[in-house]
Amino acid sequence: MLLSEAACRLLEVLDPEGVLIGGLCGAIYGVERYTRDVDIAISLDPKTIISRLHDKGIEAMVRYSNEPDDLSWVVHGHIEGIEFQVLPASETGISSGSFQIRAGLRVADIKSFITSKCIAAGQQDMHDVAALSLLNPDLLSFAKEKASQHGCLTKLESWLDDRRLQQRYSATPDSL
Amino acid sequence: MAYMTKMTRRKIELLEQIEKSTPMSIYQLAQITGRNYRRVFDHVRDLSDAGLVNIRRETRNGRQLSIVEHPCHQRLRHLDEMFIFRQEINATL
Repeated sequence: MLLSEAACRLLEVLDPEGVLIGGLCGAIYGVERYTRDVDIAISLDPKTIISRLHDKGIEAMVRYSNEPDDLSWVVHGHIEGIEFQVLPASETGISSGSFQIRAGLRVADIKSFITSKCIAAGQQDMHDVAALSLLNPDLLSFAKEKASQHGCLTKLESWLDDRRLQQRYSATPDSL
Repeated sequence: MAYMTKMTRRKIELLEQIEKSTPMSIYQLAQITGRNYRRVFDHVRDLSDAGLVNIRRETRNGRQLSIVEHPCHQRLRHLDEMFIFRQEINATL
């Protein structure tokens, strides 16, 4: 099974609440980097998610956390050898109502996606936000505002200054 | 972007339909949009000439088809290919 097929299958099982985020969503919006799993945000309780997945024969388990910086729960699973995570939409900055249909998949709209990346705030996440801002300069101020809100503006600016990223994603690298 | 004769409302609608759907043949595209095959073919060719879509030859059930892809389909396909390549490398280790 391919990653895109796994995403399609999972979104079918979690329809209509599930929304694709993560590396596959980034690829749809133009960010090209390797990913090995499928991430879905959803506004459902974990027991319902597990029940829906098990009904379709998909292995999954939920992990809860009380740590202040962690998500309160994450559903982890495998579908034909491909790892996936289902995350709580409200905690990842995703609204189930804010989505677009692209390539036959229900994907988070680009602003929600940027917000989710700023909440996660890892280096890879900031790479993706910088790439999206270079591809869509009209989103740059929004991305900086979100990064500032979530304490990762310095990381974002460092990626925006990256020459290789500018050459790859921006038509006019000196315009920033 | 290459020169395109004219970006009409119909071509924009077609481009939006291609982006929303999974990759499909020009025939399927004409069926789903309820439009004339020849007209859809010409519009897809214009969009392809402008670099807005890609036309890929594919054989399905022994028939040669022209599959229309939006750049987002190409990126997903590239990601799938990288994933398979990485799995093959891991399998040899």
